[in-house]
Amino acid sequence: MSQTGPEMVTLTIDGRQVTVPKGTPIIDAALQLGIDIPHYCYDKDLSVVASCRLCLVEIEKVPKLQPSCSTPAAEGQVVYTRSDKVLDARRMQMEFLLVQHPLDCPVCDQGGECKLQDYSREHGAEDTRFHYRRRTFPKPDIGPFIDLERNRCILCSRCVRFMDEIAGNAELVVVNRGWKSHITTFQDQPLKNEFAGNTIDLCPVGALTSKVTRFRTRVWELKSKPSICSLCSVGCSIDLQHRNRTREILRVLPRLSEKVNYRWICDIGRFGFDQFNSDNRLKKPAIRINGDLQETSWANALGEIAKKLKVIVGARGGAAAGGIIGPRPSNETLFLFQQFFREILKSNNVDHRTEFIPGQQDDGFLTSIALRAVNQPFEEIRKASAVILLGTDLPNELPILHLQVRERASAGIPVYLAHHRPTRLDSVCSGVWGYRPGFETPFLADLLKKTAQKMESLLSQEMEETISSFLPGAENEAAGVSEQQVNELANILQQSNGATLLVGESMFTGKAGPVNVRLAAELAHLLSSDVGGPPPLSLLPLHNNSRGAADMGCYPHRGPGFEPIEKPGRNTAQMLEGCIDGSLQALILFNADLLNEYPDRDLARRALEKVPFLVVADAYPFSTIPYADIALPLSTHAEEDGTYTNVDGRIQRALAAVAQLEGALTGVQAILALGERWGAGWRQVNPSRIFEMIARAVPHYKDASWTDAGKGRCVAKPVNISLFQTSLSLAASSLASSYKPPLPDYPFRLVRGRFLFDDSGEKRFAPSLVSRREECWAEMHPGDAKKIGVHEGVMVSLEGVLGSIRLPARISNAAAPGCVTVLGRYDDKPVNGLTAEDQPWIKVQL
Amino acid sequence: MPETLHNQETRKIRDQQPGKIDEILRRFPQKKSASIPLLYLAWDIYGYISPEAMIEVAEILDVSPAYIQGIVSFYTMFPLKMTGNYHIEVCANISCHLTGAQEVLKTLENRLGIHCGERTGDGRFSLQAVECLAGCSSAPCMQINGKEYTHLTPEKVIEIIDSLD
Ligand code: SF4
Ligand code: SF4
Ligand code: FES
Ligand code: FES
Repeated sequence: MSQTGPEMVTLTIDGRQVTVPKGTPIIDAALQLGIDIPHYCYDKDLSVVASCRLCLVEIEKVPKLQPSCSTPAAEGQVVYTRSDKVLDARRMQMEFLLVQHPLDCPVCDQGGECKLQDYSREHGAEDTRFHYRRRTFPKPDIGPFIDLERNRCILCSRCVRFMDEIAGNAELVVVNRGWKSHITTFQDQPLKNEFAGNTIDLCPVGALTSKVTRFRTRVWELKSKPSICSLCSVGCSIDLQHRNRTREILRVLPRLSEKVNYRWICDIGRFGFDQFNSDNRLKKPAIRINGDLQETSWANALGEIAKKLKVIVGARGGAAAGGIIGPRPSNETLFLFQQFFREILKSNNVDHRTEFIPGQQDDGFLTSIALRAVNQPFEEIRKASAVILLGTDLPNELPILHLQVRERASAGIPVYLAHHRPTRLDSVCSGVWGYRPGFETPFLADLLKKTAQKMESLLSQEMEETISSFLPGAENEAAGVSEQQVNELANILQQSNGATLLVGESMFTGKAGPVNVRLAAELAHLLSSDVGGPPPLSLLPLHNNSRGAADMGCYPHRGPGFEPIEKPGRNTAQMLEGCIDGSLQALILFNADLLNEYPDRDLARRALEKVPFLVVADAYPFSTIPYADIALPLSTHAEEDGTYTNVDGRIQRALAAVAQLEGALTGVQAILALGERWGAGWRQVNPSRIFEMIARAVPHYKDASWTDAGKGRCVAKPVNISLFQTSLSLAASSLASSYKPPLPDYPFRLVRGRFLFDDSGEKRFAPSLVSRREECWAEMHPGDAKKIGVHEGVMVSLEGVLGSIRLPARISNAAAPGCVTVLGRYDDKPVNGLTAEDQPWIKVQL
Repeated sequence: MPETLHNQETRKIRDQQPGKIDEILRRFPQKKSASIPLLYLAWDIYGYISPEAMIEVAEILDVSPAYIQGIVSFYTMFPLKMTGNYHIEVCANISCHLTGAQEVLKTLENRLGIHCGERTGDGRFSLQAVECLAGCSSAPCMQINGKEYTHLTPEKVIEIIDSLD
C-alpha cells in the first residue's frame, strides 16, 4: 500500500453514494451502505466464482444484469440492487435453486439459520413451475464430525474452496457435471483435515451440518456465552451454546477475534465440547477409609485436608508439603494455588511443569523472558518479512497458528522450517531442513555459528565456547544435517532481515531448553534490524494456560510476575523424589494428569504410591485418582468464569456457560474454601475480584482489567527479570552426554511428539473426539524395519529399561534412521513409561 | 506431506514409466496442467482409472486425490471400470442422437450381449456412451480405441464389429 493509500472510486448504489478502494466488489461496497445483496457462492475470504447468480444487480449502461460479487466497483457507476429487473431475476434464480431441493426443513438442523429459507422468504416465488421428481444422491459417511446431505446442496462450492484455499487440503470436490454434479470426498472417505468443521459454518444451507449437534436442538433455542477454547495455547475465541435451563452444551462456534483465530477454529475446539456433558466426572468428594475411596461432603473433605496438612506442616514445616498444578486452569485458580502454598503453608514447593524436567531453575521459557524475547507469535507473523520455525510440528501442536502461518505463506511471505520430522506444513514452506531427533542443540549451535560467520558478527567468548562444545567431534555425533544444508539455511537467515523466529516445545522444554533458547535468541538478534531491541523470538508453549501459569508464579523459585523467591522450593521432579524419599509428606495435584504427562511415568507412579498424603482435584477421573487419599471434584471450563493467557500473552476472559455440576466446585471456590477452613481469614469472592488482586500482584498485568479481558484487549507487558543462573557454558556442559551413541542393548532412540487426534488431557473425556482419535503407532525408518524384519502394520514391542508397550509398526521415511517415533499421548499406551527422560534408548522386538 | 509407506499398488506408473512422467511434466509450466495426459498414461498402465491410479496421479502432481477424482468424473472419456481390448465409445450427444445414435447403441448392446457401460465376459469389448466426439457433420459416430467411425447404421456397426479380431 502506498503512502497515499489505495485509489478510491465513488459509485451510486440505490441512489446513495459510497466511496471505496478501487477493486472492491460491488457486493462489499453495498454492504458499507447497509445493503445486503443476497448471495450464496460469495465469501470475502474465498476466491470468487460467481456461480450462484443470486447477487445479480443492474448497472446503468450495462445491458445485462451483472453478478455483484465479481464486478468491481468503478468510478461513476450507478447500481440498482432492487429494481424490478433484479427482483425478477432473483425470484427466478431462487426457483432454479429449489428445483432439486428436498424442502425437508422440519428435519434439517440448518433450519432457522438457513440462507435458502431466508432468501426464499424474502425474494422467492410462492410456487414452482418445475414439478419433476427430484434428483437424489446416496449419503456417504464422511467421518464422525460432519454430516453431508447432498440432496440439500446448492453447489455454491464454498466448502470446496475453503478446504483448498484456506485449510490447505482439497479434500472436498465437486464431481461429475451438469445435473449429476455433487460434493464428495475421495471415494467417500472420511474427512481428515482438522479445519473441516468450518465448512459447516460456511455452508449456506443444510448440506453440511454437525454430527455432534445433530437432532439435539433447534438453533433458535440456543443461548450463547463468550468463552475461550481450553484445548491449546492459541486460545480461540468461541461461543459456547446451550439450551436454557439445561446443563448441556450443544454447540461451539468461533467468535470473531481479529488478532487470534479470526473466524475459524479447529475441529478439536469445535467438537470437543461434549467433554462438558460427559457423565464420566468426579461428582462427590471422596476420602480414603480403610483403603477405599468413599464419598463424603466438601466440609468433611476440606476439614480432613486442613487437619492433615496442619499436622504435617506443624511437625516438619511447610517444606514437607508440595503442590503440582497443570498448565490448564484459569489465572485466578493458578494464582490462588501458589498463594495458598506460599501464604498459608509457607511452602515454595509449587510447580506447573508437569511435562518436562527443567535443566536449570530458569527453564527455557523463563530464559526467553529474561532475554526479553517478544513471545508473540501471532503479532509477529503478521508483520515479519519471513517466518522461521524451529523444532515445531505446528499442525499437531497449535492448529490455528498453523492456519495463520499457512495464510502468510500464501500471501507470499517465505516460511522456513527446521524440525526433526516432516510436518504437514512442509509443502507450503520455501525451505525445509531436517536434523536428527534429540540433536536440537548441536543443530542450533552449528546454525548460529555459520550465520554469525556469514554476517561477520562477533559472538561472545562464552557463546563461541559453548557452540564449539556441541559441534561434532570425537565425543559428539553429528546432528544429521549436512554442512551444505546448514550453510544454505545460514545464507537464508543472513538475508532475512525482519524475519521472526518461532521455537517449538521440542527445543525449549527439557534439560536442553535454556541452552537452546540462548542460542535461538542470539540467532534472533542477528536477524533483527532493531539493534538492542527485543529479539524477534517467540516460544510456543502448548497448553491453554501455560503462559498464565508462568505469569502467576507457579514456580518454586519465582512468585507472581516472576518475582525471585529467596529460598526456592522444589520443582516437580524434586517433589516427586521427595515423595519417594519421605522428605515430602503431602502432595496436592490440581488439574494435573501427572501419570500421562510426566516424562518418567515410573517415578511419578512410585511417588504417588509412596507419599503419605495425596490430594487430587480434577473435573474428570484421570488415572491419578486411584492413588488419592482425598479426591475433590472440580467444575469444568464451561462451568466457571476465568481468564487465560494465550501464547501471545493475550489475557482473555471466558464466562461460565452452564450451571456448575452439583457437588463440584470451581478451582477458585475450592482453594478459597480450603483457605477459609484453615482459618486464614479467606472468604469466597468472585473470580473478577481475584483478577483485581492479580493485576495488583503481577506488574506486567497491571493495565489489564476483567472487562477488557472479556474484549480480548489485554496483553501482558514485557518484563525485566534477571536469570538465576547465568553461566551458559556450565549449562551446556551438563548436556554433552546426550549426544553420545545409544546403549548397546537398546539401539534405538525413542522420539516423542504431539498428535492432534490423540487421547491427551480432557480429549479422552469427549466422546466425539474419542470417535475421531487415531490409534497410536510406532514409526520406523524403512532401512531399520528391513534390518529387523518389521513390516507395515505388524505389532512390535518397544522395550526400555523401565517398561515396554506394544504398538503397530508404521514404516515411513518420516522417521529418522535409528529412531522410533511415537506421536501423541494415550492413556493405555504409556510411552512415557519406557525409559528415564535423559536415556531415551529402547529396543524393538517382534 | 511425508510419504507414509511404499504402497506397491499406488506406484505403478512411477515404477514402470518414470521417464514418461518426466516427459509429460516438462511439457507444462504448471504441474496441475499435466493432469489429463497423466491420466491417459495411468489408464494405459492400470487398465482403467482405478482409485489407486487416481492416488498415484495425485501424488505425482502434489494435489489431493479428490481433486483428480473431480477431473476424472467431469469427463466421460475416463473409464472407472476395466475396459475391454476394444473400447467402444458411441456418441450420444445431440447431432448423433437425432441421426440414430440410440439404434446404433441398441444394436451394439444386442450384438455384444452387454449393456452400455459394461464389458463382455471374455474381456474383448466394452461399450460406453459419450458426449460429442466432434464428428457432428458425419453423425452418428463412434470411436473404437480412439479410431473414429462415421455415418453409422445398424448394419454398418455389425460389419465393423465382426471385422475386428
Ligand atoms: S455443501 Fe454447502 S457449502 Fe458445499 S457446495 Fe453444497 S451448499 Fe455449498
Ligand atoms: S486452535 Fe487451539 S484454541 Fe483454537 S479451537 Fe483449536 S484447540 Fe481450541
Ligand atoms: S454470490 Fe455472486 S454469483 Fe454467487
Ligand atoms: S453430437 Fe455426436 S459427434 Fe457431435
